[in-house]
Amino acid sequence: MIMNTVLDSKMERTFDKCRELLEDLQFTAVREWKRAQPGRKAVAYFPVYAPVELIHAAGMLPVGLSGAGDRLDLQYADARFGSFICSIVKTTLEMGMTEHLQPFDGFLFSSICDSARNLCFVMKRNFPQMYIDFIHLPHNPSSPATPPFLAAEYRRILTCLEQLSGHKVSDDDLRNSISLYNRNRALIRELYALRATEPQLVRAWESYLLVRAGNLLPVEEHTKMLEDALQELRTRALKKRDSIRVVVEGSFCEQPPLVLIRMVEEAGCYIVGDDFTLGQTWFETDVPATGDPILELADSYVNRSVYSSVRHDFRKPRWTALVEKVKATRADAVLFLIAKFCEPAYFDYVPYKQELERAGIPHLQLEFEEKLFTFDRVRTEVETFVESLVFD
Amino acid sequence: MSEKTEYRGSIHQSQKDLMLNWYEQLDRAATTGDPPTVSMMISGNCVELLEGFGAVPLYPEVNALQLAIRHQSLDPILAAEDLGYAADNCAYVKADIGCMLKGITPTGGKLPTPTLILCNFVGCNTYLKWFEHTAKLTGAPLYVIDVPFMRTDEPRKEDVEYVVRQLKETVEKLEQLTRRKFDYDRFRQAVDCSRRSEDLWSQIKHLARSTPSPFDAYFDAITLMGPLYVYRAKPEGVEFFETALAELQAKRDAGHGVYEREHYRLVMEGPPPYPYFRTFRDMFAKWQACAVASTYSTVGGLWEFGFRHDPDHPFESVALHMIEQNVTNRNYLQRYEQIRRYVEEWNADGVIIHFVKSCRLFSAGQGDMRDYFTKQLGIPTLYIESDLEDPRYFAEAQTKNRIDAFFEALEHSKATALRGSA
Amino acid sequence: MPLVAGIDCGTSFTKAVVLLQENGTPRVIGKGRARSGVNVDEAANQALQQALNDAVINRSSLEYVSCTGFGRYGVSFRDIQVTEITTAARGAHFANPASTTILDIGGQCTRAIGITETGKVKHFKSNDKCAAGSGMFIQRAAKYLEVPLEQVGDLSLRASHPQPISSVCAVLAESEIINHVSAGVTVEDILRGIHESLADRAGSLLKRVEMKGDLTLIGGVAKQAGIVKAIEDRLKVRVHVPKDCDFVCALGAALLGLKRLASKSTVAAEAS
Repeated sequence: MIMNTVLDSKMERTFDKCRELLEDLQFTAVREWKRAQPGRKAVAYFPVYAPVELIHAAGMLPVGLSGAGDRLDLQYADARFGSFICSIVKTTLEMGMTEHLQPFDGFLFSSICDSARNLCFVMKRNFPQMYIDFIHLPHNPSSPATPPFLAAEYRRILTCLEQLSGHKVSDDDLRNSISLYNRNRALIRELYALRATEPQLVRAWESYLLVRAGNLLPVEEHTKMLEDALQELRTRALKKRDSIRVVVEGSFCEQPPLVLIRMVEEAGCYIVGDDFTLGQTWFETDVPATGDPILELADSYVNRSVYSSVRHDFRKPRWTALVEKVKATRADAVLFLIAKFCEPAYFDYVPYKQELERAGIPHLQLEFEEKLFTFDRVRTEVETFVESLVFD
Repeated sequence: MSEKTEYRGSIHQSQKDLMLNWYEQLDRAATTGDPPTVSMMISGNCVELLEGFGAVPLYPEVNALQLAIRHQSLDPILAAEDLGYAADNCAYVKADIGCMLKGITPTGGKLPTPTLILCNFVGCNTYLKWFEHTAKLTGAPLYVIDVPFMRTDEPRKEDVEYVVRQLKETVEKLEQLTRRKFDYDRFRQAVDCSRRSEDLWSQIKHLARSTPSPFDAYFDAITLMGPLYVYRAKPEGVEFFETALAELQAKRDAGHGVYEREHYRLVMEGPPPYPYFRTFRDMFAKWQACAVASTYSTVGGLWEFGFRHDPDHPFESVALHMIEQNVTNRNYLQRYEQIRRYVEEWNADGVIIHFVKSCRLFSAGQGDMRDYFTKQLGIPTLYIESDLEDPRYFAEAQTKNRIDAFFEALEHSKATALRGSA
Repeated sequence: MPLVAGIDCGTSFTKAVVLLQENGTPRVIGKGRARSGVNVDEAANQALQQALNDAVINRSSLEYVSCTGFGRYGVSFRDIQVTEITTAARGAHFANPASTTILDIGGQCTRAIGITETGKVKHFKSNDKCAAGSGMFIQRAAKYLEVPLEQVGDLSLRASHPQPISSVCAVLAESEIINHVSAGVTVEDILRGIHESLADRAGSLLKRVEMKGDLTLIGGVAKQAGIVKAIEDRLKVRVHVPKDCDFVCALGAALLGLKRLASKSTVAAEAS
């Protein structure tokens, strides 16, 4: 019992550290990393996926930004992006306009949606001193020409990154980075597997904090944190709760407030699968750290990626993949947690819903904004949903 | 007054005839299975390729806008929302899917299930969803041509190779589906027809540089856009644009403008509010304000700056057109530059930015665009919001007030400038 | 003979019912109501005491207290809390077992609920985005048109040429109303137009919960005759308004309390 308390307080400290990291709009950790070795640079990327290995191999710190949550009032970005545009696009621009992005030397965007794409170029105009680039992640996985095309695209990006860092990248550098991230992603997969088998041991919000901290920490440090956490979580003695098992779908880009994730759990759900901060769980299996590393990374994007609303693979529909995920995690239901004005998620809701209904899987659609401040309505809806599944 | 503003030459009728003929072909395809049909998106379409199979394009956007302009878009939109689409999903998609669910077509004729759903992904991520969903609904085969976005100043060699490779895969796919051999010569001829149509279209657009402009390069241009997308790769298209150029040239030579007196020259950015097309037009007609250039009329292709399809390099030029020469696959800053050139070279007084909630490709970031034009370039710019398909988002009184206020201010500054120079 | 109470802690009023089950049939034997105010617990106490007085029952004979509504977690003496959607379904089902579709038009939010034949929630859909779809919009329109709220329902019935409000946004809708007024449209026609627009919007919510058969209408707006007529006309459906439409959720809560009591399983309310 005493052991458990000690362990738990150690875990608490880790969670607190993670929370501080991801709430810190000054990016103190990034500044410190740069200060530790003058001349080092940091490159931010917008969700959902970015080839972080390229940034890492160039000796820079890749940082996954996920908007500013509820910690920044919009003074400029509303006027630049107008109505009907999601919050993360606006808070990202706002961070730039209020000099919160000062620690970053570069910023990468990719072809996930029209708003984020336009944001990339609006940022280019407003922050000409920063290296800002757009990666065309392909949407035709069936052509043999696709992996070579993406490899060429990665080489273009790598050349820019090399210029930025002043460090020429060798294939061995790349293979080393791939191995490090493989290890990191494998641990995250392990954490998710643990949640699916013993959901009482780790709450979704805890797992979320642990994983998302990896967006801001050097991969080596984050991997260590995950290793320690996994060991400790397994020894926790927590009793099972009377909860239904749900898969959360739709939060792959803009992130729901932490309180909302906690609320879903408190309303009676075990979140046994989710797509939070999806880029960090992007590959289903390891990227080969052999051969031509750029081509392997490109090929993995085309052939090893998880399903996602921002990656179109007509060889295997996303809706089939969602149903498979529900079965694999033995979930009772799906919660759609969709960011307001997120068009990819809005669109996919329809075929997802149709397939779930065909498979007899209950689902509930909820909408959030990263700066949501009142959760009563959402809470009521989740509770009603749970009640409809548990009461006679 | 409204009658006067719209350009009505003989091409007005031939435009109608051409479009009706197109719908008849689609109706025949739906009834008999012939000719083969390929659904595609307007933006950066590769209609030339279809000619190599004698296949007819099916453009869901054209159907959607036809419905909106005829005030019939709301019912299908609601039907799609009943299916689960969100209020904030693109209303073009909702109208199209709603029509499928309810069996509505813009002409009342039949629309075929396409032989191939060919998603030419040119910047619009909604296209991917749209075609994926229609493929799921109809069971028709889907192929995506992934066109790299213009993220560098010039298209990259690898980009062109990648698209050419996919075009050739599309040919293979169509050969299987239509059981027809691809007619390369006919394809080349089509590319040549396109070259000629584009040349004529470009000349028409340059006529608007005259003062007064003989036509409105936003509202009237839309009339000419149908034939441009459906027929540019055919001799009928070339003929149509020859007539159009001759008519408009004559009008220009006679010094006839859109209005009695052309009072203001504008550049229009963004699609029009189709459900209130006429009402919207009248708001500008009231001020005798003529659009001399528009970005919307370059959705299907950007030709006024010199690009043409090239029969000597048919695949490569189709690829270049898809990558670089249409407004939707060009990046936002390239669009700023396009508008800036219009203002300068077409001698415009101001820019109208029409934000449409359906289309984030066009609209996300237009506030920054306004900032660029007003603050950095000092060009009078008006920003208004509504939608291109959903009638529920057009605030008539508010929009009118904003437009009136813009022109009042413009009038005032023109008068001041005149006094200053006198 | 189990005796239970259900308390609905709404934003404006707290309602309580006392339910007695005799020979397997539950019967409401007391009702109470109090202003919610700032102290949920106190309001719940007051409403419950009133209901107990009404039923002439001692507090000590109550075996189970279920709470629902906005303030459900604030009641210290509750045995269980259940959402107002679940209780609306159970209460409406009890009032009108033949109906499997419920429409709840509240001040801030309109909600459609599809239920099973046993009163379980199957689907629900809330319209919380546009204020033009809820009771608050009627209140604001009534204020603008200078009509007392309680007359809105009857005035709407007297309309001859209803003027639809097409905007989905409350601000735009208000400017439409202003346009109608300046165009000389009568107050009756405007009000009916509002009711019809509300009915149309409710219609699309109802479609998403797969409306079948008669509709049970609850919530404050249900008291306006105009909206009942508008829904019947526009959606071609028979509308049933339960006699005590304010008490439907409290009743549903009490009914669920009975079930919990019967199954003997006590689900401790997690103190949060």
